[in-house]
Order: sequence, then structure tokens, then C-alpha cells
Amino acid sequence: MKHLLSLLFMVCILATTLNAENDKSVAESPDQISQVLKADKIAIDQEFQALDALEQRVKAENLTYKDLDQETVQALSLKSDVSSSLLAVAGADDLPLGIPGFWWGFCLSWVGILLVYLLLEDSPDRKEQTKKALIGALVGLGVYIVFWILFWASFSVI
Amino acid sequence: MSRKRLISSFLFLFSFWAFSYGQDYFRFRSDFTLKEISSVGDTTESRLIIGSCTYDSKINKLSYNLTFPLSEQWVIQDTFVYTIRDGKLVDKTTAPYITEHSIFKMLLAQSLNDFGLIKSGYQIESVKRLENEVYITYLPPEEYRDALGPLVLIKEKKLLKGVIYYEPTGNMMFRQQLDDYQIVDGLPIPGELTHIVEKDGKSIKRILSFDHVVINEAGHDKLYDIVVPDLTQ
Repeated sequence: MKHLLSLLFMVCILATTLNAENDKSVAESPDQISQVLKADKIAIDQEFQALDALEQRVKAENLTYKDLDQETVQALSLKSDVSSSLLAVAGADDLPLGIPGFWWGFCLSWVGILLVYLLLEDSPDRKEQTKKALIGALVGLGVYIVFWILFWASFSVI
Repeated sequence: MSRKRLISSFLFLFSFWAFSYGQDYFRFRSDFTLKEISSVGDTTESRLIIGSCTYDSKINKLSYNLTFPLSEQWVIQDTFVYTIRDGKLVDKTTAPYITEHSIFKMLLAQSLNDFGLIKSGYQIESVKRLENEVYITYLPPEEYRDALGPLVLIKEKKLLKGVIYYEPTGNMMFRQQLDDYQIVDGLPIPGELTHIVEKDGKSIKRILSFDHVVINEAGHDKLYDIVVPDLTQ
């Protein structure tokens, strides 16, 4: 019984420590953020100059991608595939049902890992989310084992 | 009760009902331009997309009518994306759901003000002021703090002017600025949204502009509920 209480005490301390760390915000001050945003504006204005000019030309002359000369396309590294950009604006979430990979693994174990892998398109994000699902599954397994150890330990004490 | 008072009460109730009804925004139509520069290491790509878009929140259907790079229509509903060219369905693919964080949904639901955060379980950590701007820092729900970092919203005169998202490690991963607001039928609409995502050596910079915005357009149902032709046609 004494060991069990010690174990519970340790778990509580660990949980409190983790919570305290998580409560600490990493956000910067308004001054710092304001400077970053101002710098962004200047950089974006410069970086998008060529695209701005192309936009004006396309609108004025009613052009499509096929009407552009190869030189313009190459100079801008202009692509005609628009799927990911349009979906991003639509707010289509890259996560399966909007749930992070960790929780898929944590709740559904290997089934969750498989679902994350199958539901996401082949991309670095799929690899990352699948990894998170695997971590989630391992944490879930750990929680399960600890629960049963505590459960049976409490029985043996009684 | 006198007749005058009865009529006054009725008029008051009616105006309240009319006001409430008037706030139900469900349709959005606009010309748009999307400019994007993305880079991974030394490789840079750019995209220019021009067209118009319609969104009806009641049927959760979003349509893009593009004029550039190609003249084609994109219809997004449920988990499907349909591509229509010259009146024919040329492609049908699956896509993730249009989430609550779609710009179109948020504009109409007026949740752009808090970016839909309160609804997502985020909590306000601090509120700070810098000149005319208010910086509100939100923390994600406790159970997600290992995976999600804080979010800072910047507001000026109650309008959302910026969004900053940090990773739990403190890396400023996403920043968005909203400018050139116009009020359309009582709804504040940003004319330009600039956003930057930087992560793991990759970056995406995107400028989305709206022009000729129409809200809650009556009639013209075919514009919002585009009938997708059969794949075999």
C-alpha cells in the first residue's frame, strides 16, 4: 500500500510539473511581433513585384497560362497546378477529421496509425502525423499497462 | 393596454426579429486573386490564380470559377472536389472537409473576430495594447499543449488585423495580416489577406485579395449550387 501511494504521489508530481511547463506561453511581446509584421510587409512587397506585374498583364490582356511565353514561366517558376492552394484557402484541413495524429494513435492504437497513414496524402506531413500516431499509440499502451498494474496492485493490497 | 402601446410593442418586436434575421449571413461571392510563392531549400515556385468564388454555408458548397491559369470551375462539397472544364467534369477527387477555419465560413459566421478560437477551446492568456492595436494571446486547451502552441490575435477598432501562431517550441510558424477592410451589408470583409508559413526550411507566402464582394445574394441559386455534370457526359 505504501509503495502504491508513493507511485501515485510521483505520478501527481510529474503531471503537475508537465502542466506548469505547458502553461508557460512562448508568445513574444507586441513590440517584437509588430516589428516582424512590418518587416514581412516590406519583404512581401518586394518579393511579389513580378507576380503583381503578371497579374496586371493577365487581367488586361485576358490571358491564360498557355498564352504565356516560356521565358515568363521560367523566370517566375510559375506553376499551373492550383489544387493545394485552392484547398488551403478553402480551409480544408490536412489532418484526418481535423484530429492530430497523436490522438488517433492514442485512442485507436494500431488502427489509428493505419488510418492516419491511409487518410493522408503522400507528403512530409503524412510521415510526421504517422510518427505522432505511433507515439500516441505507445503512450496509450503505457497508460493502459500502468492502469492495470495499479488496478491489480490495489486488489492485492486489499 | 392602449392601442398605441400595443402597436409600439409589436413594432419593437418586429424590428428586433428583422435585425436578428438580418445578421444571418450565409452567402459570399467575390472576385479574387491568389498569389503564392513557396520555397523548399533552393527551389522556389510561384502561382497566380485569378477568378471568382461563391460560397453558400447552408449547403456548405464552395465554387471557384477560374480564369487563370486555366478557364475552369472547381466545386468543393463534402469531401469531394470536382473540376469542370468546358461544361464537362474532367476530374473528381477526394479532399479533406472544409473546416470551421475556412476563411469563407469565418467571414460569414463573423467568427473572424476571434478566429473561431473560443469555440475551439482556446483560452485567453493575456491582453496587451500597443498604440491603437490590441494583442490577445490565446493558449490551446491543456490536453493539446504538447502539440499546439499559443496564438496571438491583433485587433484594431475591433477588426482582426493579424494572427500569429507559435509552435510549442516557440517558433513563429504562421503569421497572417488582414488589410483594406470594407463593410458589405454590415459585415466587415478584409480586402487583402497576407499569410506566411515557415517550417522545417519550407516557406509559403500567400496573398489573397477580394474584390466586388456580394453578401447574402438573393436568387441566382445556380451560381451557388453549381450542378456538377456526370463524369461520363
